[in-house]
Amino acid sequence: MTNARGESVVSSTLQTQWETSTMTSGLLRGIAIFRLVALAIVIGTLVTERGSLKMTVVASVLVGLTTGATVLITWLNVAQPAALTSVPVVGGEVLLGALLLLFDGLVFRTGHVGSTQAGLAGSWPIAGVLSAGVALGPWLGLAAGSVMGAAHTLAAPLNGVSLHSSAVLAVITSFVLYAVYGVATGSAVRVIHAYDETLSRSRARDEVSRTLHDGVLQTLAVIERRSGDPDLAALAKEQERDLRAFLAGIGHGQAGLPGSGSRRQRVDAGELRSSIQQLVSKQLRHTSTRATVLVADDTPSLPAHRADVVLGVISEALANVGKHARAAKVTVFVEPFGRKGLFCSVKDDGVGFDVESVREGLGLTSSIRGRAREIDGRVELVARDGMGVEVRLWA
Amino acid sequence: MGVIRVVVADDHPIWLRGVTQELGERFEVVATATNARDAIAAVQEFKPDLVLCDLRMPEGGGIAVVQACAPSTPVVILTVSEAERDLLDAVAAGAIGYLVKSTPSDELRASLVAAARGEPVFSPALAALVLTEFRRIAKMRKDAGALSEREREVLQLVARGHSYREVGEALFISEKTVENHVRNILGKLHLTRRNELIRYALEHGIE
Repeated sequence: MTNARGESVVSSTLQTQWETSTMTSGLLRGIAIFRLVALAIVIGTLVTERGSLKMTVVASVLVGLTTGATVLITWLNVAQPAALTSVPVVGGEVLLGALLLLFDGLVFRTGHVGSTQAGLAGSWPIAGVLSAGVALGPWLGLAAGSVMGAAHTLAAPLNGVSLHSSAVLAVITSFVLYAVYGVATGSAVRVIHAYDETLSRSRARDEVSRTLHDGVLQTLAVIERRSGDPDLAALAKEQERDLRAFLAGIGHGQAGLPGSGSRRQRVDAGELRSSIQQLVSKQLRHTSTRATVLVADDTPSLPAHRADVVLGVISEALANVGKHARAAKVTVFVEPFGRKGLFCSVKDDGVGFDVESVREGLGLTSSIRGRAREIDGRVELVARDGMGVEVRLWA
Repeated sequence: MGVIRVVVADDHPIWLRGVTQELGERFEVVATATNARDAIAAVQEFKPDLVLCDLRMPEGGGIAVVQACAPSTPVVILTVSEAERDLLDAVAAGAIGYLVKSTPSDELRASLVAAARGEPVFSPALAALVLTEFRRIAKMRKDAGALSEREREVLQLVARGHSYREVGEALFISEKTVENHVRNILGKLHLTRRNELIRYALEHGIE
């Protein structure tokens, strides 16, 4: 797939639509089974209640129509699922359901509606309301439910039942129930859709990560190791670092720099890890230092302001590694400390320095200690000539 | 130790060729494989001193190779990323350690020579994973396979990026003692994992 400028773009919307429609058609299949059962009950009622019918032929024709509609919709489920969500099919089913409810008032002898005896329609119209909710959303689901409710309400006077008896309550209840069926199904489907979309988006993201991981990172590692050209090896290393930072970012749904984007309340271990990865690729960009970022999975989440201080200290320490250490390796390590705190260290294997002769030098100690004091943290700086530097923070 | 006989398994052909060339004269690659099943077959046929295999491969990946071949043959896992979740599983199942694919050649060779002698290949990342694993175990059962305070200190220093020499200096012990601690820690990890599996099997009535 390519965009207007001819660049290739990854299409994740395609996949989303496909998955959404599988879910919808799954629900519609479920309703199809319900509809078949409801049809069996309609036919059963025609037989058992034939004694109370006054228009047997009309009732039989209606049941025939219902059978035809049920067979047609069930067949569509198999042959042409896309048609099931179309307005004519759903509308037709709703109309037929309403007619069934309405004719309950005409085909039976006076007094049948509102009594304990079963009407012809039974629960068949509910299938139409559910389909409308699933296929057309909560509002049209509500509309379909209201049509059924109205038809059911009208059936009572048509049957010669006066509406001041206790039947009023029963009729109102079923009106409300029909409407609720429509709205609830529609809303539930909408929620599931949203969830499903998020899920498939993150699945697409995982897919991209895995592809980059298995393909590009492997290749970069080979170039880094097998290239005789130090510039090429350095370039591969830099690219690898950026890619890792990016992957860490999208893994947690935030590909921006730390602090950008929406304001976070708490920062968990995964977010801390990706933020540190980004600091590494920023501060060590033009060096050949290899960084290892280790954040224990059980590191407690921190309030945003404390996490910012921790990241500030790490950033400062990394900046100094980048500028002064000439290190081959640097390790950033974070693990839980005490009940809610964490321990963090940044250690390199570079040239180090003599703490005595470089008092408060390098901007390191003063600024790092200042930051740590803000959150009642404790900082230690251990440096020896030729033995690298380690910054330790308890926060 | 003479020439070290190695089986190399990786489903990326470029990598497979590359690493075979890179190992140099100290090593003899007796067989290569591109999936776990072939790797296990090769190990059974050639009885190498060392297996070097990718974590992600068809037919069960590196973990399947570890389960079939360790501890009688030392297995070193290769991985592109230390963030892989099943890395610890592979090591806990009995791998002697792992190496990231971007490890420089000389370091790779040195680690593999040590691994062939049965010495764990212990990186800061592995140390950090193992620390987390033991914290998890300690939280679940107070009694099971806890680390001694000294072992925890060693592990934490390694995780922070200290070399064995630096760890020794920091704790006033010899480098050799540090190595012993590391080996014991890995042994404990293998043991706890095995006990965990046995306990799980007993509790769930699996014979």
